[in-house]
Amino acid sequence: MSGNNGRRRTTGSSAAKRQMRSSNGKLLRDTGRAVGGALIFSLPMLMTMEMWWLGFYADPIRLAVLIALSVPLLIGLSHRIGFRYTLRWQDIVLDAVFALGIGLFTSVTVLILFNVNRSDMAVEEIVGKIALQTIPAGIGALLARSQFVATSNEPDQRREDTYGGEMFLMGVGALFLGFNIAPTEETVLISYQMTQWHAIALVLLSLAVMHGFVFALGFQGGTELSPETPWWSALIRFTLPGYVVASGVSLFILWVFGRTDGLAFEQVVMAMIVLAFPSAVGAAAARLIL
Amino acid sequence: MDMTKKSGQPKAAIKEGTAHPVEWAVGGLSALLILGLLGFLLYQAFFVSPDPPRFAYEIGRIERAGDAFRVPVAVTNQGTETAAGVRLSGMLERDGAVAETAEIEFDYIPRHSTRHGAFLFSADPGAAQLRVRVLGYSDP
Repeated sequence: MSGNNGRRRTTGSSAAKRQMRSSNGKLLRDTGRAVGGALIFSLPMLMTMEMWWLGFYADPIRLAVLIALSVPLLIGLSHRIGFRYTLRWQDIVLDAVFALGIGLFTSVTVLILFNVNRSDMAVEEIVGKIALQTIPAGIGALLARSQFVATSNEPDQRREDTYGGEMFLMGVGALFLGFNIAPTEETVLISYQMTQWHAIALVLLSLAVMHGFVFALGFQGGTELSPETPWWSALIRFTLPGYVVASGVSLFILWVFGRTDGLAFEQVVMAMIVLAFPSAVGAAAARLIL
Repeated sequence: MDMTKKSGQPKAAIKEGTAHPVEWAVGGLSALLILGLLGFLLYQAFFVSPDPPRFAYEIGRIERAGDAFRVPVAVTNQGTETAAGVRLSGMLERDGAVAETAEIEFDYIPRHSTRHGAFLFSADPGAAQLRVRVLGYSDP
């Protein structure tokens, strides 16, 4: 982009105008992409009634914590896959705010179209519903950049990941799938039906699935893993921490959604294990999804 | 998240396939946590004997709610199995005769967990004796 700028400036004002028009086109295209991404990722949640109910029974303080955490999360994500290839902090923060705005716009529009938000509802309820939906939609809007990059003619702008960056991505992947599944009543219902033996088997299965993903995806470019890495090394350095990240994210989501209230400790552990299964898959597949 | 800073430094080393000590430390800690989790589940599986749902009640402070009286109640399932569709009845008895009944249904009361609800009576429960009992439940 900056290279083009320099070349065009020499040809005078008509080139400047053309430059402006093309940057408007790019803004429009980016906005369209972002709305598309927001829809892809948030429609399952926009059309889940438990997600609407959470708007009035979720604790406002927990919702505030969730929203407060989503800002650094989006900034971190934007740093890795922004709408533009940039290393300037202002641009990265701007991208995150832009994504959140698109997320807000998309959720408000859809919730009004579904007549889920009506004028006779309490303000707290309406705000709660919108706030909950804005976060997945915002993540989706940001992810649109990487989702649709294959169809664009811009160069692949993936950066090399550090170990911390890898863990962060796993966390986002876990949040993503966990957020999709946690609001449903089935998450806790499954945990009520399971015995401890089922839970142990589910933990082992989650680890196995995760390790499969880590191993299969790890050898593609951009990671620290190489085909010479022994399986146990990848297991300890990536799979196990990834599962801990996925479990932590699951526990956090369950807490935000009030699913842990009044539950005994062992039951909270069971619910966490149930949600950690999809979250672990999300974490391990983050490299594919994000 | 402070991992980002720490592991940012020896980036070259990571790329060449040798793991940074921080990675092993994080991995070791994670292994301990997961082993702890599995150990906890195994302990539960072996040493906690199955126990069908048993219920304990706690009646809260009676309040006027419009033209009714609200009696908050907390039900705790003391068993190790979860109860679904728990129906709770509250009977007001005056001079040995049932004056009024109210009912609550809880979707789930998980093992060792507490759920809250409230009975609504039109007569003042303070002037009568309140009897609470679970009518029944099903397995989830």
